[in-house]
Amino acid sequence: MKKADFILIASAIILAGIMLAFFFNKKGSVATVYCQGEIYKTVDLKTSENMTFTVNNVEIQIENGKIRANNSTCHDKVCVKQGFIEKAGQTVACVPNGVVIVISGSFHVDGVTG
Amino acid sequence: MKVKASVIIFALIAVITVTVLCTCIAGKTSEISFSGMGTVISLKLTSSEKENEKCIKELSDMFSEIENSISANDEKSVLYNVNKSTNETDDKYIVEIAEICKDVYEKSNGAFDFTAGKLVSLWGIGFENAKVPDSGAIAEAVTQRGIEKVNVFGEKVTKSKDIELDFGGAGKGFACDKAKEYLENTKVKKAVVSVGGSLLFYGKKQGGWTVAVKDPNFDGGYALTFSLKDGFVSTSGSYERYFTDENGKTYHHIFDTQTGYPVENDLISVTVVADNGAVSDALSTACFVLDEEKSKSLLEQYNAEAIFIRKDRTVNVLGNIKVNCAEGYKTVEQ
Repeated sequence: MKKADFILIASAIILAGIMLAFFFNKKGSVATVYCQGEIYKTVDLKTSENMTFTVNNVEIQIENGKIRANNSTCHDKVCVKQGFIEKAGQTVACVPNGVVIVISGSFHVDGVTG
Repeated sequence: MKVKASVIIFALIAVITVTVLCTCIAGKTSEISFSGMGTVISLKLTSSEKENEKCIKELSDMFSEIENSISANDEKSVLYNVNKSTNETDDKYIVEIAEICKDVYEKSNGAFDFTAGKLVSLWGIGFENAKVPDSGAIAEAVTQRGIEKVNVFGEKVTKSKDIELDFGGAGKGFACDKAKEYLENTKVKKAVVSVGGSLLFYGKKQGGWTVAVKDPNFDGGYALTFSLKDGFVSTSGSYERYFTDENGKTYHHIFDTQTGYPVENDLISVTVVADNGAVSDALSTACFVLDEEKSKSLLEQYNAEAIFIRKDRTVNVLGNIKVNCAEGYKTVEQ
């Protein structure tokens, strides 16, 4: 295969990938709150009401589909300074208190009853 | 002319990409939420964009029409008028829902009771005026009910004037039934309709639909999920509507209409899966009132299944549903 052929096929694959990725791209919606390495709670940010709760000295706030560490007893407050996160892959960690928030892509829930 | 292999591959990739995108556009999923029937209604429809738009408009109109018939609280509704003055109606929605409610009332020995409208409005749970009524008023309200005081016959519903009907325990599921009937005459292939947490899963989804049950102890979380081929799902829970009196005692909205007080047991929510929406809605209330053991034969009569979540966060399934519990919840050993 010539170099030009390779470039042609590679660019087609990349273009197709970009088009499909663009089409299917979705905001991350599920926040998992870990405390000392264990899941404390999983929250669907798309459907959750605005609320505040405290896990191991870290006050966590959910507002309009975003989540943040609103307050913490830790010394440097790195977690609080990070502010709101909302996209898949983003994390907030309060290392001194052992609290981590991770946002994942999708919860694959089609309907919620209750 | 010799066509290079690379050009053929390029063309193939282009065609596949465009086809995939076109398929997705033709089967576009539209989502919308709005308020109606005294709650939040959410629609998720998969069809062409134009068809989705048309269906959302027509479904929304239909829900308003149903609300105008069966709402017990809206002073302009047909039911309000029946309860307060006429005592009879041939309204098609009222006749249909009354037939289903009467059947569930009889099969559950009154655990699902749509004839106790006076007791429900006396307590006013879910409204600003909610209070514990005085015991004399409760004693009177429990006599102002009973299936023998309602007649559903020949496309007409009549009732005795000392009772009031309340379809609140079946209305949301009933709206899902009507949505299904409507969708069957459209080009919509797949849909999820949610009327205040009563759900219709319409059409087949590869791998099944994933249903989540709200976490009764934590707003925004899920207690468990399960997979469903299609059908209707409804939940009744003591955490949904309640008030706390000056002594700190909590009163929820699911009544034992024989005593006139909210049901007291170990349950916090009951989710029912059935092939009829109004039935799933009414059964979720009936099973909450009856508790787990007595619910078995009732569920069997409707070929329905139920998930009981108890206050201690254990989960009991009656039927073949395989549930995945979230952190903090676990199924009981069968």
